[in-house]
Amino acid sequence: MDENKLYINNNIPEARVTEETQIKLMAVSKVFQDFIAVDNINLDIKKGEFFSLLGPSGCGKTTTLRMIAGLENPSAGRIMLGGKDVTTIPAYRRDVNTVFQDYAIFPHMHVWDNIYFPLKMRKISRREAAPRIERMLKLVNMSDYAKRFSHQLSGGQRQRIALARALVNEPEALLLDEPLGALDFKLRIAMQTVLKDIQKDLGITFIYVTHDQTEAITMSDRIAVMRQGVVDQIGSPDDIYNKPATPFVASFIGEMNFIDGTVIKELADELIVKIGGFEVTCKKNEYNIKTGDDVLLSIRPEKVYVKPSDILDNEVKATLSRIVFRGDNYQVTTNIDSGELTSVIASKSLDISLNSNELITIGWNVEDARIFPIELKKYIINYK
Amino acid sequence: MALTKNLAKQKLKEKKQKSFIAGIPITVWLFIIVLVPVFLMFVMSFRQKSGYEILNVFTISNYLEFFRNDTFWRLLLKSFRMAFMVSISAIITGYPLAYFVSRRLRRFRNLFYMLIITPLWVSYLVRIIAWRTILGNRGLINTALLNLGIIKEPLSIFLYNQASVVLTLTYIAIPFVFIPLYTALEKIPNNLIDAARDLGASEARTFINVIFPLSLPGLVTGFMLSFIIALGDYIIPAQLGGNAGIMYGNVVWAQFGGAFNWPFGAALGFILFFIAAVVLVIAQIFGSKEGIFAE
Ligand SMILES: Nc1ncnc2c1ncn2[C@@H]1O[C@H](COP(=O)(O)OP(=O)(O)OP(=O)(O)O)[C@@H](O)[C@H]1O
Ligand SMILES: [Mg+2]
Repeated sequence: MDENKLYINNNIPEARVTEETQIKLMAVSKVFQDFIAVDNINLDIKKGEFFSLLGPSGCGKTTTLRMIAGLENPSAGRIMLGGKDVTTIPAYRRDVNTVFQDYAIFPHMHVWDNIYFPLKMRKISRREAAPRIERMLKLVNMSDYAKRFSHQLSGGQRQRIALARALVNEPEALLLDEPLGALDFKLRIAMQTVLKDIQKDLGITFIYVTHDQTEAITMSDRIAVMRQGVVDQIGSPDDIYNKPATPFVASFIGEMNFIDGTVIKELADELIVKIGGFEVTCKKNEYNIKTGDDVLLSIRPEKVYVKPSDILDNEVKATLSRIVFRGDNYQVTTNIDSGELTSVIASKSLDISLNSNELITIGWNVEDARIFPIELKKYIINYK
Repeated sequence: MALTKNLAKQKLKEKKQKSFIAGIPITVWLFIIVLVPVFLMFVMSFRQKSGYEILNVFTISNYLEFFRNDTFWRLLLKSFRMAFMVSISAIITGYPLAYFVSRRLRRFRNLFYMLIITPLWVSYLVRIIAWRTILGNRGLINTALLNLGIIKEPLSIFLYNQASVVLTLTYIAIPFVFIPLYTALEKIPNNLIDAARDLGASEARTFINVIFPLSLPGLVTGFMLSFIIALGDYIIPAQLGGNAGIMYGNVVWAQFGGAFNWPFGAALGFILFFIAAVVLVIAQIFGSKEGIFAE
């Protein structure tokens, strides 16, 4: 763990401090018995931001969220909420609410009473609460269900009640733990829009936990990508997708080609990397890579052009090995002598046919590829 | 739409038929072990004792006797009062115990659970004798008080009264209250408690608003069990009750024993059975209303 931190901690892009900080995690860790679930993470979440915690199962997202909510005590570090140190403040006195993964609707209360619960805890009378609850029910489009019990609701409806209940006392921030995880695809897409709209309308900070990269990319203002208790990168969806800080991030989000190579020459801003029998040009980056270092080159399939009509910065010869039709595009796999490269080509424009042995040209532009130290190769997520 | 509805209806019907067939053995069993004896008792209660014979006649005089002679219904009322006290004290002792073991203990939870229900493995009579030795003249309490010099003569106030009966019955009832309460409390998902805390409920308010209401089905079951156990008991009042601690069960028992008046005993028994059944049904309705969230 120490060894990879060496790279990562230096490379977290500085959060742009443009707005007021709402939630701050400073060197927060959580150890269960002898297992490190969260390892020294720093977060700086802005007021009104839609902030996502993204990572594979078991990487510590829920634990992080629970520490912010106050349901779990950090083993080390401080947590600030709206400028106040809340590290030792119990959950019920923190001004954040959670939408739990399985919604946690109280089964002995109907919908109306569930939403009334947080107001009741603040000693607000039922009369006074009624219009607010009404408004919340309308917001989540559940006005007709006020007298239903949890077991009379569908998963999606429960989810909306959980949302209404967590929003009714207007918390400083809303924590959502994979709120759409249990819903089917169509409903998930619909609820994404609903959530995003509500977040914009109310201007409440959302901290959104998900392991679904598409969800994080489409909904978030910023994303923290987590791996085994550490944060690999914090950045905008664009940064995360186009400038992944580590091979882990690069592999976790979207599709990615990885190819091994060796740096053979160093220029002012660029490095010449030998992959197989070819020499390609790569941009220097925050990793201090020098001549002679082994590197891992990463490039998105949609940036690898097969038989390019324009002249590209880097071109290599490859043999065609596979073509897969995927509806709106083709995935074309080619072999170069040091590895495999896949490309994505819009389905209308495929003018190649599978004729192996024939060498074809593939290429990409310098700014579309990134190189990493080869030591980080082991963190690539490989679902194959 | 209509088609799918019909289909669903048919499916439901089939399901009902299936569960009906599956329910036959248990119904037969229930019939043999519960309903037949009750029915025989019911028949017996309309007969008439004459000397040492039971006449094969039909009469309601046994029931009239119950209402005519106020000792019986007064005793029944007193037994109800005592059974109620037993249930309440068993719950007052059993609830914190069940709460602690089910929700607070982690490592020794099973051990504590076993310890609490161990008395159920010991003979009922042995446990009653044990209480006699604790409460008696030369029992544990008196010996302790004598040795401490608090009293000079052994006190006889511990035994042969209502309190000793209620105390011992409570002791007997505690495991029966503990088990359903433990089950109900343990079943409460942790995330509901997390949600309550998250939404602003302190520990006390979480208990009042979430844990306690969710444990009600267990509470009702425990209450019913201990109530029935206490109401029908005749051994404890006979052993530890003296004259003051006598209960309805003792007179029922006496009719079948010394008095040899089975028809009257059956009538007294049936009255108790009927009232207990009404209590059970009321509690069941209440329990199942609270129990809708059990699944
Ligand atoms: N109470 C606990 N005791 C011991 N280990 C725990 C506890 N809670 C979580 N862990 C461990 O900590 C790690 C992180 O758990 P966490 O629930 O935060 O993961 P997650 O990122 O939310 O995963 P998922 O996407 O599957 O929900 C896991 O390996 C888990 O086994
Ligand atoms: Mg989780």
